[in-house]
Amino acid sequence: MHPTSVPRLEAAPASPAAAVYDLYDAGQLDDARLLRALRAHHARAPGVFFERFAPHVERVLTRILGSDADVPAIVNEAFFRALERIDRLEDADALKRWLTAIAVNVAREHIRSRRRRGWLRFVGADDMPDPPAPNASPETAEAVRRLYAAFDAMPADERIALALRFVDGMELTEVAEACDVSLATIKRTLARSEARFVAISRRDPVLGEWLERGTRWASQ
Amino acid sequence: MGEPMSRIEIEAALTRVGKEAARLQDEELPPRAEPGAGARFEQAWNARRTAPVTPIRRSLPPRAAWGAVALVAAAALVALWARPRPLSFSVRDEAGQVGAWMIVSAESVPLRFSDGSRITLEDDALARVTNVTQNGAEIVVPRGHVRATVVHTPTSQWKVDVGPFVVDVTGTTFATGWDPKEQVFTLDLTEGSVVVTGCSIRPQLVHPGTSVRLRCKQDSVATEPTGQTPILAPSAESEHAEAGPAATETLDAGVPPEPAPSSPRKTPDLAALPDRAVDASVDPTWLQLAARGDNRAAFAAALPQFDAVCDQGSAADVMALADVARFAADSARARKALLAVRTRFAGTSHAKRAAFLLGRLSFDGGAFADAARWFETASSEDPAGPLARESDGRLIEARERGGDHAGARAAAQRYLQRYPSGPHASLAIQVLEH
Repeated sequence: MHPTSVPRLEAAPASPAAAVYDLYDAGQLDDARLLRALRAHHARAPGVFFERFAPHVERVLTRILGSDADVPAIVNEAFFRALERIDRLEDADALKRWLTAIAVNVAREHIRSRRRRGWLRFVGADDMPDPPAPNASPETAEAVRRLYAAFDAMPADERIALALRFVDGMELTEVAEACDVSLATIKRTLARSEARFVAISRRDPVLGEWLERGTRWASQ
Repeated sequence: MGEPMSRIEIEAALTRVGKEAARLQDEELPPRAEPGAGARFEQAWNARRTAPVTPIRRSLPPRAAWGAVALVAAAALVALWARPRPLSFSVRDEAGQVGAWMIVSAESVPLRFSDGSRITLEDDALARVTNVTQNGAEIVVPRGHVRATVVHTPTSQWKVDVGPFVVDVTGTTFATGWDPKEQVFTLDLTEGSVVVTGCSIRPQLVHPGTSVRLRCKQDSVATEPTGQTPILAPSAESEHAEAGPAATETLDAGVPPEPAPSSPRKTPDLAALPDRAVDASVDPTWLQLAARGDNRAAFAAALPQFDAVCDQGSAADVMALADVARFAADSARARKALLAVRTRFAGTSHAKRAAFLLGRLSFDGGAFADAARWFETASSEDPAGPLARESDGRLIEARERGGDHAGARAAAQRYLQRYPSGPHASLAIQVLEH
């Protein structure tokens, strides 16, 4: 009694809808089976997809955007777009990386849209930086806030590359894949963005101090 | 930072500050999705898939004129009767849906709102109503033109997002549009006044009888004089900034910017502005400073106009004012601005956020009972909103710190029921075990 649009899942479920959740809860639904369920438009597969990868996507977006009240909406938008294009994805092993690239693209659009709107998008209460985390020193929190203020002054592609490389800690190849560019291109982008970041930071006493410390740390 | 840094030094420094940023972010980010997040996403996904993209093709069906009059009268009655409820609207004879895209492929299509306001989508427009409140609505128009007749009330709040520009409306008649191909924004104002923002221009108060034509590309704004069209200038900051994207915001060649106002920090008393087509004395300096993260400077610049903004500014402006005061550690003024939002924009999303921020201010000031009341208010006003979980969590803290242990236990129980793996779950468990 399987509808034709629902894949046969190995657990021989009593109901297809329950199957995905049961398998997911048991940690048995691997990415390949999840992708098959998504491509077959299984009714519950989007929820499983979201629960599995939303924390990752939110983390990547937060790395890029910092404290931004729009992050939850952007997470949703990234998943919407992924689901709309899920038929184009063949390799289940690439599911997470593919989704990451989509999320990065949505973040890029958001940055550009926010910039076009100038100050207007910056003045919402939720767009302002939150108070520092409970165990963060004021100095650290201020440096992080200035870091994202510096990012705001950079072209979208450059800030994204910097954030993924140095805040998220991605490898160069991962940054290139997330940004959907070649390794050579991302290296050039990073070189440009690092130089620009330093130029911006030189005018900021707090970031300047952090860079100075990093220099000392590097030379030790 | 006197000597040039090597690439290795730069990357080491970036790695260091980047790691700190990641560490702070990870303290706030949930390790896994909240229970039920998948199901909620499925609902959103299904709504997205089924949201109609309404092709509106032929002309209006023949209707007697008195029928339209009856509709308007009925809408007015409904508005009177159902005042506290959000406005409703119709697209031709069908109930309008918030969030549904409308593509106008022939002739014009009127959206009739229950307060008597009307937004008419012109041929080839792409638009959707993204939010409706009891005081107005927000309409997004990525392409094409609209005509609007907005009924004025003391609390009217309408916003039309036209391409990269925003037209804030309290009550007026105007036509506006955005040509994405040519990147041109147009506005013809017949009655009332509106404020135009976007594309880094100063907030521009536009008066009746005015036609505005603006071009926005690559983060720059240029005016295109057409007859009596006034010139709108970009912000002074964008012209004089030393670096960053603001430095790239230039006027197109041959289009002179309007001279900077002689008293740039004059209180923006909109009612007292001289009767010019466009007045550039509404100074956004503090807003732009805030946008750059320089909150101390923003606060200093905002101080001379603090009360005026609280009394007359838009909800977004007053919220921004509260933020710069908060980050400048002037909690008394931050509180004043937030209370102004609560009073002037009751029921809006801004007012809900203001409740949460008032809670935080009270908490930070040690007024825990007051903080608890605000967090409770924030949660009850927007139980499914983005700040609900945080409000519920902070409510536990506020009650516990304020000595209301029974209240804290009740809040903790409620929190664990709603967010068993939320960031305040461990605190909630501690409170219950204690």
